[in-house]
Amino acid sequence: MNEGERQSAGTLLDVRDLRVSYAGRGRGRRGGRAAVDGVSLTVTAEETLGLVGESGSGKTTVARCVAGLLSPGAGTVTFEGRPLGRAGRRPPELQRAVQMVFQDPRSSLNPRMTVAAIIAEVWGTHPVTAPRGDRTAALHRLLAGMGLDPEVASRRAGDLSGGQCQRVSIARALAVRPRLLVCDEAVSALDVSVQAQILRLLADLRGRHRLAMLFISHDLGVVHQIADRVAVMSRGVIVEEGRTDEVLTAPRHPYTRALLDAALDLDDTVRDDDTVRDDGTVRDDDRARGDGRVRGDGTVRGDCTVRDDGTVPRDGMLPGDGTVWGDGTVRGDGTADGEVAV
Amino acid sequence: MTAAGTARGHGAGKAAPGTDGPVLRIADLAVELPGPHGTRVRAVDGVSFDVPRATTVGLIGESGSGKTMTAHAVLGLPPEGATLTGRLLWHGEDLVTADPARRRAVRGREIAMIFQDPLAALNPTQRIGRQVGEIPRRDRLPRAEVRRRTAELLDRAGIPEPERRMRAYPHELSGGLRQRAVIAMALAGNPELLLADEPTTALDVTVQSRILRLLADIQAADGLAMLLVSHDLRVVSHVAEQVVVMYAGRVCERGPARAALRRPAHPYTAALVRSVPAVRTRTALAAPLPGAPATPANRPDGCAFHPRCPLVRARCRDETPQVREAAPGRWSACHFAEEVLGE
Repeated sequence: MNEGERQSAGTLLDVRDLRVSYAGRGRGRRGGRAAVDGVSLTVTAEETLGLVGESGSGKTTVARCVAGLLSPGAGTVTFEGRPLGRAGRRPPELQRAVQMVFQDPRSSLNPRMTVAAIIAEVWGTHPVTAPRGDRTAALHRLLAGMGLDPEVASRRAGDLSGGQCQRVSIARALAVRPRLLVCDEAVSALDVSVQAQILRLLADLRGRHRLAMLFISHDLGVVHQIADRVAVMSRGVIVEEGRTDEVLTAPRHPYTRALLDAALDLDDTVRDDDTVRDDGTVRDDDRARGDGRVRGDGTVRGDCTVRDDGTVPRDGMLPGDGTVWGDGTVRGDGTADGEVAV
Repeated sequence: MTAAGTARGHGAGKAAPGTDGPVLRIADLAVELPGPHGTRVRAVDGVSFDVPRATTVGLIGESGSGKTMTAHAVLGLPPEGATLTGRLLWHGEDLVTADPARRRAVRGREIAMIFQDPLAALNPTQRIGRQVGEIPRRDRLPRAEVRRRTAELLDRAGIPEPERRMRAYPHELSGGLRQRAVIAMALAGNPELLLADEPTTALDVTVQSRILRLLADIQAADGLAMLLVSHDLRVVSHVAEQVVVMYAGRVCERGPARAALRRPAHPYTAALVRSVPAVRTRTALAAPLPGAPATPANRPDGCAFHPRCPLVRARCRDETPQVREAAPGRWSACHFAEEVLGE
């Protein structure tokens, strides 16, 4: 494939012009909405790419395409030049190579399975990664690498704390020796002190196992800590991409700037410069006109429903069926970033 | 939009707090819950702090810290089977011993609450206007007056086109608008104290900053007291003048928010602060605390934090520390608070 040949050496994951739209429900006036509208990104070996954006930006949809949980409508996803299809259709070595860690470890682990059974299952699926010889010793080594006691092996996932569950999820992903770890809000549901533990663990494992990571988060602070590069998504497209320290200290795109302005830091003093007014609007000279992305008042333009000031254009109602999704948001046209409806 | 565009310094421009005593004084509050095998679990264990007039107090803690239980106790909504001891002095009147009718009169009127999940707080089958207008309607105001008042409340909560939004159902509004509707409901009874339990946790950052600003503006305009319950230190450091940090059902530190978060007087607060990554600068990954947060059900002896504490000594294992004033205005439940402060 042309794209495959063009990629530079060291590129692990190559996403080209990815498009995903979810079928709209109802009378089909709009027919569905592009959740991801032409996203291209690459992740090189041992690199961590942070993907940030607000809910509805499409970042989770990108993650799910990479993990093979969703089929893209258009575009290609390749891993070292080899196309990545749906997870079930991938050759075993590609299945293994890309693993995912989800936001809520409690819903991504079967609460009634023991930790030993959870790990045995993935070793059964990928026998080449199964340890030769003493499996129990190997299991204990794996758990120890995650900072878990050996006694956890016999516990059921439902009896573990949130932090322990997330360590087990990571152990399950690493048990098959992946090269790319897709972390979708992997630390967002955790208590602050536990979040720090898991971040530290991910950073350690990344070095130890020479992992590349696609790290999806809405928390700019977390991304700043862990990512080498960052891509900012809004309305299904990447609006800015670059080295983390550059993007998050000197953002070029108004949307990134709006995100950073809204993000709180511990030691912030009340803003007294004049870039942002008290009502949250941005001054004229900061306006971005004509790029179709961010309005002068800091709200984002698009066909889609909720402005970031919490107001809704047009008739004040969301079009569509107003289904409520797991993260508590309503997607106007009944679509969600692949999240499970409640 | 009405949300007054007034600049807000921390504490600036407000009536001096404490001139006529705090609006709410929580003294030695304990909430006991039924535990397994007939045991009782002290989910809230001897919590004391004040909420002064026109002041925001941030109540910080991780899951199981008892922060939400404390807020619910103030509202008179402890869980089923819970026993409440201690005192909740509302303008000097003890709500723990007050009769149910009096408590009902206070709840939702003098003390109002904003919950984390606006979808759960709103009735999905009723239009926004009906829900926000519930208190004016119960006050038997004429229908036109209820309508006018409802629109006014929505307008104060920063909802554009209130007349139109009154006819919307909760699912037709965005997350930010829904939380504004909940705020409008809370304001309906002209409260003196607003309990906000993780009011922005479910919202995107850009929406979060606007909701926080709205709350600050309303608070400044009305001289409201606010108890902000949150796990998010960043939010608390922005909004609160005072902070109370809870761990495993007990207070471990309280004091002025900025000072406490800049120079903590308890090792747990210090660890929390270290765990918060900065947005605008790259912070090195902090050495995390070992273990999981203790819960009231399995609270360690002595200082509940001692198994995770980097400064732990023999005394911490045996002797439960009392909350004491380690430095002027700085209260800490650490035996070695002076040492922590001195670092």
